[in-house]
Amino acid sequence: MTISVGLLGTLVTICLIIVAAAPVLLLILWLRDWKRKSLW
Amino acid sequence: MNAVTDAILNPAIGWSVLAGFSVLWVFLGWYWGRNADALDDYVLAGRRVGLALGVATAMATWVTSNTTMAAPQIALQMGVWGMFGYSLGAVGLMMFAPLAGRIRRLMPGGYTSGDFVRLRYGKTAWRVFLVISLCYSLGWLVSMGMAGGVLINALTGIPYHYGMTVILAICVSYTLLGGFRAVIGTDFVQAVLILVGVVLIAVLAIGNIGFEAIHSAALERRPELLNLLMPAAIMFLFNNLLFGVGEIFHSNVWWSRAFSFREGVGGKAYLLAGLLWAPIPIVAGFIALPVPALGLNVPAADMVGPLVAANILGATGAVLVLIMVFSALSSSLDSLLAATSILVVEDIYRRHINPAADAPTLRRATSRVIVGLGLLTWMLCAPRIATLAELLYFTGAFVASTIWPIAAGLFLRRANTAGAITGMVVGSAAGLYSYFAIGFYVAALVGAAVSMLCVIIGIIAAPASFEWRLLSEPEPAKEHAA
Repeated sequence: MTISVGLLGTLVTICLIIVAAAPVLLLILWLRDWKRKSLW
Repeated sequence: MNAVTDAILNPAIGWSVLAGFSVLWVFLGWYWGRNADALDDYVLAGRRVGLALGVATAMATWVTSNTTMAAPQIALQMGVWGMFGYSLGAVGLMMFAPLAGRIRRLMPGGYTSGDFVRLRYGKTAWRVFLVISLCYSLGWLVSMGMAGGVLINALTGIPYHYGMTVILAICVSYTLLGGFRAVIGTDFVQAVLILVGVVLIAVLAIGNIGFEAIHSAALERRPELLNLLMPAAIMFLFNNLLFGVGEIFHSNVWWSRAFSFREGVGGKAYLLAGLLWAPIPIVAGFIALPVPALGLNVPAADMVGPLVAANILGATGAVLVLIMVFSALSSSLDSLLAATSILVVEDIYRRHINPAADAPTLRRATSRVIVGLGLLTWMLCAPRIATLAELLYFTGAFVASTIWPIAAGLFLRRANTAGAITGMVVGSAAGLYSYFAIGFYVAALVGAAVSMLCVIIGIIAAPASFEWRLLSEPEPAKEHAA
């Protein structure tokens, strides 16, 4: 039983979107913490 | 075989990249840690770390060179289940989220995971735990140091000893200069670099070859890679999950972060870090699947990531991989140096040798231990004995045996000392036996299962009635009493 191209493509694309969004989210959180003076 | 002629990049480019990032890490480490003179500032970043740095440091530390290099290797050996199995390492981060919040509340002045075991279960359990934790930390340090030398050599042709020495020296330098602030600050930059690198390589692989071509070539030449019923891969999946949970639950790398986050941040930071980390091994592992489509001959499975990147992107791809690997190694090595040094200072120096030590004395001792750990790691890495790096795999049984004593000890008043000690000792022994008798893929599973039984039997047979307030200890004096 092998994984279909559709399932593999969908799965990898979803993961890729999350990984690509992660640095953006980190930068947004950084800015928020920096404005609140709560980076550390 | 000559490493220099076989390397993907030429050594001059390799040295330039290493030099550039080394200067950056040391400068940032010095800048962020320049005011960290007090003990809590130096070893726990003042206990006020916010969400952004909290999420990034948990992610970057858990992305070791294994994630970026071994995920494609595992995918090449075990196919799609290998990718999913690796991503289950995120479960440990997510499961630690409730523990992190509770640790911060119950132990507002705590320093190490050893502090918890000593206060919760007493000195015998604490010493058993310290042996397990220190062996694991040293195993991880040595495996990272050796991986640094081997990977830099394979990518750039720079001799093993030079690469290993450079990465250790840089991490020791900035950790020494800036303490935990340097570690957490550089982790943020390293996390962003790793994420951008993984995404770029995967997007270009898909763009250049396409899902259809990757899938059909794999189906034709390596159908096992797409097999959803590969038994060894499914066992790897469960073992990897428990190994990861054991590593995170016991190690001071993760406890020191829980102590350093400001109130209310720990739970959210670990949960978000786990959610964002989980897809990384799938994307990194996917980089191996174009091998059949590209018709690549992979001489060593652990070099599949760089080979695919270089094949698709040329020298730019290889530089990207080098930056990712250097960032991944640094983010784990600096965390290990910082967390292990405070474990040694708090649990061995202060609690065994100099109980009257004040905060400035402990601060100075931490700096010396960071340098000492760096030197010890260098000496163990220098002979390049492969079996030393493999020692880390043995520790799966040991660390998994600490899962239940830690989790039960944090949440159940009735968890008792005898159950915790037998759980760690008998669990480790059973896990180690199964490692040799059955295989590596069951060591953590057996260690955790036996340890769980011991803890449960202890609770039923002789329930304790622990008072949580006993976990809160006064911090060391700001200066020695006159």
